Amino acid sequence: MTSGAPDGSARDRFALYDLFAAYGALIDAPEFDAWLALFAATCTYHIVPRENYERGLPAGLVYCDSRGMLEDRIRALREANKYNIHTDRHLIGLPRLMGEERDAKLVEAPFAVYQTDQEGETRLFATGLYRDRIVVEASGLRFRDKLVLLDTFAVPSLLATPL
Amino acid sequence: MDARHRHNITWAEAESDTAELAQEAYGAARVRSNYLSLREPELVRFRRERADPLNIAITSVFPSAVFVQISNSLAVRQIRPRGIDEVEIFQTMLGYADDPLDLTQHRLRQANLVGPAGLVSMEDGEAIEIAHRASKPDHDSTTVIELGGAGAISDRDYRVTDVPLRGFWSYYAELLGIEPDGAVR
Repeated sequence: MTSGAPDGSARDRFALYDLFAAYGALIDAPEFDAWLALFAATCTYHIVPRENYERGLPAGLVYCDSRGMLEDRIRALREANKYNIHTDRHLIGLPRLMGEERDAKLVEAPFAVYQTDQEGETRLFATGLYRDRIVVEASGLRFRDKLVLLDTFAVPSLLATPL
Repeated sequence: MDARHRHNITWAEAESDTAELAQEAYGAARVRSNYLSLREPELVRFRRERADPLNIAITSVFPSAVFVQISNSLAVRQIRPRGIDEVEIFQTMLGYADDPLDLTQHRLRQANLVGPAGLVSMEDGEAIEIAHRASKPDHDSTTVIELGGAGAISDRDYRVTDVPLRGFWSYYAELLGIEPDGAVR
């Protein structure tokens, strides 16, 4: 146990691990409706380069400050956007419980996303850190605020599918 | 475009056409515009900030700067070549120091429209890459894509045009002294 980190029962920890395992797997599947269901009824989702975040600059690559905006993103992805056809592979590190804030658990997890294109080339697309507020709803643990902190502002060509 | 066609502005006015006109204009292109709606329509709501009605104004300055207003999102783009087959675009999103908080929020939301994850612009880079890949396989011959057509380099009264690109390359060729005989400027 890291000093200062709050203790949690083994069951709570496994529930947290399950949430992150499902999160990555459902993007890669892709099963976006099931992925959206991992978010709380009221939620936010932001993708922000670390450079901006560390300087306190709020501009992000994806900025969804409501569930409606996140749902619009997924709808656009399915029905409107043109993008490179590829498959995603999320490798998500063990989530680290950082503390609590009222009814939310503060959780961080590192991630890497590989993309494979139609020519058979797999390349590292993004690495970063999830910094999340997770709440308990009737159906289980849900993301209320998901901040995807990218290690770099440089996005290769385009970012279409969620990270 | 300026007289030498180095720089250009592409722009549009808010509410300059009706739903019927849009349907008429895009119907022939088989663009279906009547079956999708947003849960958060704020994303595309234009808040008029000046006396003019421009809701898109994109100013390209030769050779590598672009000043962008798309609805209420403001940005400066810097285009940096990284080699003969790669460029990098730096995008700096802007607001004014005296913007009210809700306008800042609005600009941040509308930033969703632009950039590499932009709902409007995400495929722009991909489209250029596809054209680039398609035009380079033959090492012993030349590929010609008449982007922007041929003939005089001149202004258009619509935005679906690549003519300013020809102005860019025309001036580029002049600067480098590689302009062919009889080239159009």
